[in-house]
Amino acid sequence: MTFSLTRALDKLSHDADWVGIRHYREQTAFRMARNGQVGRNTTQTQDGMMVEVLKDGQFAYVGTSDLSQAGLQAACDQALSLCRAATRLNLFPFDTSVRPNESGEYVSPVDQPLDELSPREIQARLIELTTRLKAHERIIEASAWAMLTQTRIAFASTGGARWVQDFSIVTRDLIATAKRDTEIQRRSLGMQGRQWGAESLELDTLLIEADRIREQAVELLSAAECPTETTDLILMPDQLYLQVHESIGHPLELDRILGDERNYAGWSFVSPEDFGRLRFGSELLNVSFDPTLPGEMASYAFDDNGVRANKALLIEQGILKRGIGGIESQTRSGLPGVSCARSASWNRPPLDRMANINIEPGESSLADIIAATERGILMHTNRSWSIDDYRNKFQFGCEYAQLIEDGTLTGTLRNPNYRGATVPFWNSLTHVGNADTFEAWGSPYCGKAEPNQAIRVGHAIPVCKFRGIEVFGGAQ
Amino acid sequence: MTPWEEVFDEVAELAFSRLGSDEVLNLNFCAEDTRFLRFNRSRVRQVSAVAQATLELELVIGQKHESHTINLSRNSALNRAAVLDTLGTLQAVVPTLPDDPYVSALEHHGTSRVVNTGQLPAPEDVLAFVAAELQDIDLAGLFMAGPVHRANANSLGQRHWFSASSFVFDYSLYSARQKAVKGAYGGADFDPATLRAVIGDSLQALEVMDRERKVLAPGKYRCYLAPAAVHEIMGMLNWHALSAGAHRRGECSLTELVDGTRMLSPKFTLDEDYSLGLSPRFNERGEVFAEKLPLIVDGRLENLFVSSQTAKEYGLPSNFASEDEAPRSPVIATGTLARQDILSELDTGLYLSNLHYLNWSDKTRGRVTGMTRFGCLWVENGEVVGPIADLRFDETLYHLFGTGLLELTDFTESHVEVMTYDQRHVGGKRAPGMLVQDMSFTL
Repeated sequence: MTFSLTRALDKLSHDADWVGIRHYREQTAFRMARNGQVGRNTTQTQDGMMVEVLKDGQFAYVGTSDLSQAGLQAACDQALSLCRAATRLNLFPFDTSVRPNESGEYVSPVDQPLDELSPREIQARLIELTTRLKAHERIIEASAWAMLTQTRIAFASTGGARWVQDFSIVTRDLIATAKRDTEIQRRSLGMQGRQWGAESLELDTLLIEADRIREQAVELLSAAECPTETTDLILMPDQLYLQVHESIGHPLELDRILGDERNYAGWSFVSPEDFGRLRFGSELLNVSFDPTLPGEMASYAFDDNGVRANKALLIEQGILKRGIGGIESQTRSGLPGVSCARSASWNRPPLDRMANINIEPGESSLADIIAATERGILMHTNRSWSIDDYRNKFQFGCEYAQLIEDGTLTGTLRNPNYRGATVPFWNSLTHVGNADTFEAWGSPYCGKAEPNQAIRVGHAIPVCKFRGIEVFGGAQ
Repeated sequence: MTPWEEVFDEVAELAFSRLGSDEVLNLNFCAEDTRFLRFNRSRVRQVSAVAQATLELELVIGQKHESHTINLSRNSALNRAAVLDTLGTLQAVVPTLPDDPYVSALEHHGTSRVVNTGQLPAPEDVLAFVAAELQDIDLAGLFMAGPVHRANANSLGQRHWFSASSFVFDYSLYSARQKAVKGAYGGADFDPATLRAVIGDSLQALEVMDRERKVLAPGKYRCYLAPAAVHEIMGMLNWHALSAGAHRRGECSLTELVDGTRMLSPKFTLDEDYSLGLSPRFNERGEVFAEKLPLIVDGRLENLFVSSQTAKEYGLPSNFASEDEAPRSPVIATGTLARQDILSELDTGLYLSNLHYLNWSDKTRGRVTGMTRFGCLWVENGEVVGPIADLRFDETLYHLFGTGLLELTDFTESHVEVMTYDQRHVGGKRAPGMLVQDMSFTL
């Protein structure tokens, strides 16, 4: 495909300073079962090209699903026309230095290719999982789903860039809803996404999870309400990943700091002067941008500007060091960034996105963290999230919590929520879990940008403990 | 340029001609030609355009079914190859799947054609306006323009077509102290004079934002929620609030209202009302929803959304709701509060122009949290004092639309959908402002 892309590029007639073509082809199969029956089965194939043109300092982007040479020429012509119209109001004059000429390829690491599992076999497994999830009289609804995605992104430019990346991604979930009288509780696997193959749907492993989820959903019906108090809080990776996403990832995006997102996703409490100075968290906090971690959801070799991807520390021993900004934002701001300019599909321009934003593992075991807690609450699995447009005041809700008294887990709590403000929260970090507690989570639905884009992000996270956090339960 | 309607008809005819005698095919089509101008500091950050179409093919063979969505273009040869390839894959896969006991048979629900045209500006017109009139202003936002199309057809002869040409300039303005107000100008016929007036109103509102910021402690406050803030709360109704299926599955956020154990205010009435004209009445099965359906009347539940699948599964009558059983054109009825009386009736409290990032604190009990954003003010004795530092609220829908609701305004404002995830979305909502007592703020 790269070679045909190169030929198509060579045949284009234009007077641009630079032209790039990104061919994006993705097939996503969504398969679901409910209550021991087949559920929704859909597949989506996206196949299109983004023609990107630079003329007199102005980029313009035109997406087309007409993949003929005539279709690409029409897109190129329209892009040049848009360049000429916009140049006089150019926010920043770019040149070809922001489009490096890298070559190479990337392939997701998988044990078993996705196409080795037939739709019928996947459906059979999901049906069996929901039968197991439903195996209690209190369970009123059980569902299991898997979203299997295969993506190929190929890029060629007049500067000589040539690269291809093949991704295999699975997002999956198991959900059980329990009811007794007017009390309703839901427990799930937490929508786990990674670069995976068919091994992600290994039945025996998932059946064990289904048993746990069913029993915990029923257990929540008779659990105590989460108390309202200020206490120590331990967050498991299936909640903490979203805390990192919302309160570290987004405020560090350089395009937010530069004001591009002010009308939609929002601004940031972080200012350019904060880099190298701001104590973002306690000395235990080390946060990395790491697109190289095998199997994490947003690992890759090149971003969509064609910049080679490498690991970099964003926060080191609690001090803010580097932003999440691609080569355009780095050029505009003069701040250090990373290779993170990405687009959601063929029909949208790239911009600063998170990729994998991880907390580096620490020294503590989960048992040690619990033992070191006189009174606290341990929360599992995100169910709600909200944060202000500067990424400061947040509130999160979880599915399942446990009370800790005198270093011991003493009971289950339902409807757990907590709230706080970003910098005080991360400065209250007292323990970071070791490698045994480190888990890779990810979401396919990070929303941002005008026009809007939902993109995949990864967060590999250990268990962490925070001192003096405001927690509370559900409505009375 | 080939009209998208021709593209749709050609692929539909082709696909329907390749069906076996036991096969029924349902098609859903979306298309647009859109130009986007993205602004920061009244300059162009990104400029882009897209010509795109998607076709969803749902093949039904008895109780078995599956759908596959592909991209189309104006290239007939590529379209025909893609459609035949996709249909062939479906014809191979569907027979291998288990029966779905809740699939309801596709039917012929008639034909319809709605085409709303407009006079849209070229990107050059908007750029000229921004260059001439907004260079002393810090503006961020998005201008987009172009036709949007939705269609459905099935192999039983049903066919619906909906087209709307529209533009939206969705923006925010920033003061020297970096406080902001939100504005939008959209429609079918672009008029620079109207855009000038709309931005003029925003600039006037921005003047207040440069006053000293008021920092308020958490607590309960009397509040006026402007229509744009009410639109945000209405958005939470899309998350399973009025879905018959969600209620049966234990996912409903207004369970107690549906069960009849709790009411909203007698002042609160909500309809699904397609007279707004912002979205097609047909759903993804081509079933046509009523022009108007009362959902909540005088604080009591009147109707839930019931899709044909939910109807089959739970033995209910379908009202041809879409598969997600969410509002697509909701309208809250007006009250008696006149525009000129808003500040005096608020007296002392919060004037909330907009809200941001709403989510559940306790979904099954309808408790919502979110943030203030854009143009939120502190008012004392009926006079605006100045902007507030952002606050987090945490309150139930039963209080906001029920026990706390003092009055609704005697006017409404419409919100035209500006979401563009994957494609430009259609639809909108209309709401009055609301005066609410004792709204809880926590952070």
